[in-house]
Amino acid sequence: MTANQTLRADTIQGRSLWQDAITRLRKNHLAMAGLVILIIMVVVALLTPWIAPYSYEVQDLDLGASPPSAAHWLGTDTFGRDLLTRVMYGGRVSLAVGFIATTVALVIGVFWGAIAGYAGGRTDAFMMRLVDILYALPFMIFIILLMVVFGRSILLLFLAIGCVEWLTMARIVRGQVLSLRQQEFVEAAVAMGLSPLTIIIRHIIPNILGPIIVYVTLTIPSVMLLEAFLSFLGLGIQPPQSSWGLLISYGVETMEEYPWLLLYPGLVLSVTLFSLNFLGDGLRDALDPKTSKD
Amino acid sequence: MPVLSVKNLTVNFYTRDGIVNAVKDVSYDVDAGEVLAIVGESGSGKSVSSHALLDLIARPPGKIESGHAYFNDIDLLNCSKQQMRSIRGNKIAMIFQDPMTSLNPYMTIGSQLIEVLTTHSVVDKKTATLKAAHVLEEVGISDGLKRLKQYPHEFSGGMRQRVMIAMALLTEPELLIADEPTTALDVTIQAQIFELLHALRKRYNIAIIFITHDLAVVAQLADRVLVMKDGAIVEQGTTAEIFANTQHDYTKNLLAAIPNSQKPEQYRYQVPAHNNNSILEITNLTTRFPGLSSGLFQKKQYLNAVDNVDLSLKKGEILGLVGESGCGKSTLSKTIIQLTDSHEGSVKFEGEEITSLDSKHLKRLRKDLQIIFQDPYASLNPRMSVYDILLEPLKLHQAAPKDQLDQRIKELMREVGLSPSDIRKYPHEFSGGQRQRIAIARALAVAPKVIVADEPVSALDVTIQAQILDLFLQLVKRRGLSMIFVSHDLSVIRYLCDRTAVMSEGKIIEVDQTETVFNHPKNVYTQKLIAAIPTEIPHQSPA
Repeated sequence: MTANQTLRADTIQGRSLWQDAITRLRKNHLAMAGLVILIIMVVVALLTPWIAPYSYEVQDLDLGASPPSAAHWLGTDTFGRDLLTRVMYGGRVSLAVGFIATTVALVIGVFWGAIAGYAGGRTDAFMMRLVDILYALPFMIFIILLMVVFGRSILLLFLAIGCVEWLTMARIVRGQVLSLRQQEFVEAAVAMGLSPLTIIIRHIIPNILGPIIVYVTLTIPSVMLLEAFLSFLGLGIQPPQSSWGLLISYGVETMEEYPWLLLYPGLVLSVTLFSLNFLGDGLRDALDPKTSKD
Repeated sequence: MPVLSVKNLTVNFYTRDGIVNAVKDVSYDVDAGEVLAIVGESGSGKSVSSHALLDLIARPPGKIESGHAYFNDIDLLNCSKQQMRSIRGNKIAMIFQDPMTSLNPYMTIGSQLIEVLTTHSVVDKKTATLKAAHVLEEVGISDGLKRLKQYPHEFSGGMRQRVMIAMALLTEPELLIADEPTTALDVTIQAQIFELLHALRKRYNIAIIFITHDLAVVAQLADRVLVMKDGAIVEQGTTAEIFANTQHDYTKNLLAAIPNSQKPEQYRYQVPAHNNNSILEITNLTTRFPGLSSGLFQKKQYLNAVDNVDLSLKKGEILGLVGESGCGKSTLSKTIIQLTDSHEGSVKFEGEEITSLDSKHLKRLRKDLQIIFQDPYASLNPRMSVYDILLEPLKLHQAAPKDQLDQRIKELMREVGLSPSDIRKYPHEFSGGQRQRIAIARALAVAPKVIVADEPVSALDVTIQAQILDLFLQLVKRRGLSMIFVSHDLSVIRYLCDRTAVMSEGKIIEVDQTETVFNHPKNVYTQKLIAAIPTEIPHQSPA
C-alpha cells in the first residue's frame, strides 16, 4: 500500500475504493452500531478469564438453578454455575468458531472459485469436480475422521467446519466470476497487460463483494449452530466448557422450568447476529459506489 | 380526424435522486396512414411519451401527472384496465427494439402469433393458424404455414423483426408504435424493414409512430417529425420542412452531427516521403471457434470467424473495418491485439511476429497495442474511480515517473476533454460520452502506437458521437497514432478513415482508399451495403 501513502503525501484527491467505503460506512448509523456491539463482544470475550465474576466449571449443587439475582445477574444453571460467566466463556468459543471458520471458508472459497471461474476450461472443470466430490462426502464422517486421525481439539474443529463451508462459497464466487469475465472491463484489463492474479484481485473480487458479504453474514450464524450440533454429539467442545450453541440447546431442554437458561444465551446470540447483518448490509452498500453520493 | 390525439402529457419519475421530468407537456396528433417520427437522444423522453399511452411505464416510480390521449374517443390515460387491455396489442400494437429478446424462445412462432389472435378475438384455432400464415407471408416470410412450426432461434434478426411486425399486424391495428425497431439490425436488413413498413402502411392505411434516435432514418420513412429534448417537444413539422428549414438550434445540432462528409482534409493520411512501412502486417490470419459437433466420434467442426485475412496498417493512418453483425470484425480486432488466439497466419507489429509471444513479451507488447471497446458502460470497472482507472496502466508499464503520476493523469483527462476536478468520481457518475472519453484516456495512458477501436461510438448519441469522432481525429494526428476503427456504420467510417476494409463472413472482400470504396465499390456485397445507407436527403412525401 505504499502507492496509497504517496497519494496522501501528494494531497491528491484520488482515493481507493476501501477508503471511500469507510467514509460511507461511517455515515451508516445502523452499521456503525452493529460494528460497535461486535467490537464490545469481542473485547469481552478476550478479557473473560480476567473479568468473569465466577468460575465456569465450579458447581454449586445446593444453589441449583436460580433465577437472576443480585449475586448472579443472569441466574445459575441446574448445576448452580453462574450463567453470565458461562455465556461469557461460551462467547469465546462461539465467536472464535464463527470468525475463524468463516475466514477459512472465505479465503479458500473466494480464491478457489475466482481462479476456477477465471481460468475456465479444464482447470475450472477439475477444480469444481473436486468441490463436487467434497460436497458428496458426508461431512459428519469427514469431521469424525479428522477427529480420529488428529485427535480432538477446538482449533481442528474450526478448521474442519471452515473446510466444509468454503464449498458453497466457491460455487457462488465461481458463478459470479463467470459472468464478470465476459465484461469488457476485464478484457480491457487483459489488453492492458495485467497478470491474471492482479485482474482477479483488483478487478474481479471488488465487483463480487456484494454476494460474498451476504453469504458471510449467513455463514457465521450457521457455523455457530454447527458447532453446537457437533458439540452436542460429543465431537466439539465438552462440558464443563460451553458455547452459545450448547447453552441454547441445554436451555431448550429446561425451558419450561428455567426459561432464563434459554432466554439469555438466545438473546446474546440474536444481538450478535443482528449486529452482523446490519454491518454486512452497511458494508455491501458502502463498497458499491453507486449506492450513495458524497 | 386524427387516430390518436395526445394533449398536454406530463410524466414524472420519482427516483431516489429526486423528481425527473421525463415528459413535459407534450401534445401531438397522428393521422390515419401517417408516419410520425419522434426523434431524440437518450433521455429525451421519446420512448416514455408513447409507452405512457399504453400504460407500459413502471408505476411507481413513474407517474402520469396530467394529460389526455384520445384514441377513438377513449382517453387512454384515464380508462379502465380492462379497456386498456382490449386496446393494447389489438387496436394499438407495438414493436420493440430488440427482436432477439422480444420473442419467447420456448414457443413456436405459430403459437405466439395464434395466442395474440385468440386473446383478442373469438376465433377457432384453424382460422387463427391460416390468418397467422397469411400475415407472415404479408411481411415477406414465405412458406408461412411451415414457418409457424419453427422456433425463434431458427430465424435471423431481421426475420424475427418481421415476425414481430406480423404479430403487431395480426389484429389489424389502427396504430403501430415502433420503438427503435431497426436499431439492433444491420443496415441492409434495416432498409428491407423500411420498405416493408412503407408497403404495409399503404395497404392497411395504418398510422405509425416511429421512435428513433437516427435522423437519417427519419428522412427515409416519416411524413412528420417531432424532435424531443429533455422531455419537451422542441420542433415539429413535416419531414421536408424540418430538413429544409430547420428552426431550432438543437435540431440543427442533431443534423450537423450526422457524419455525412468525407474525412476532413487536415486530418488525412499524408504519405510520408520516406519509410513507408506498415506498422502492422497481417497475413493469412485465421481464427476458429468450435462449431456444433454432430457426434462423439466425429471430427470436430470449426467455424472460421476470421478466414485467411491479409491486412496492413500504415503508421499514422486510420483503417476502417466495416461489416455487418457476425462478419468476424470484432474477432479479427481481438485477434490482432492478441486477446483471442489465432490458429493460422501471422501478425507482425513493427516487423516482429506477435502471435506466439510468451507472457513477458506480451506484456511489453500490450503497451504498444491498445483497444477501446464499444460499450463504455461495461468497459470501465464500476468500483474504481477515474483516478485508479488511469493510474493502473501508468504504474503497470511505468509510463511516468512516480512523482509525476498525478500530473500525467490530469494531463490525460484534459487531453480527452474531461475536467481534472472529476478525478475522484466513479464511472457511473459520468454520461456515456464522458465514459468513452475515460476509456480513451485509459488506452492513451501508456502512449500506445496502435489503437484498435471496436465500435467505440455505436452506443453513443449522435451529437456525442460527433464529438468523439473529432477527438479521435485530433488524437491520431497529434500523437501520430495508427488506428484500426471497427464499425458497422458506413457514414462514420467514411468520415474517419483513410482506408476502408470491408469484411463479410470472416473474409476481407475489399480494401481500398475510403473514397474509392464509397464511390466505386467493386464487390457486389460492398455495393449492396453502400446502397443501403440511409441518406439524410428527405424524399418527397405525399402528405
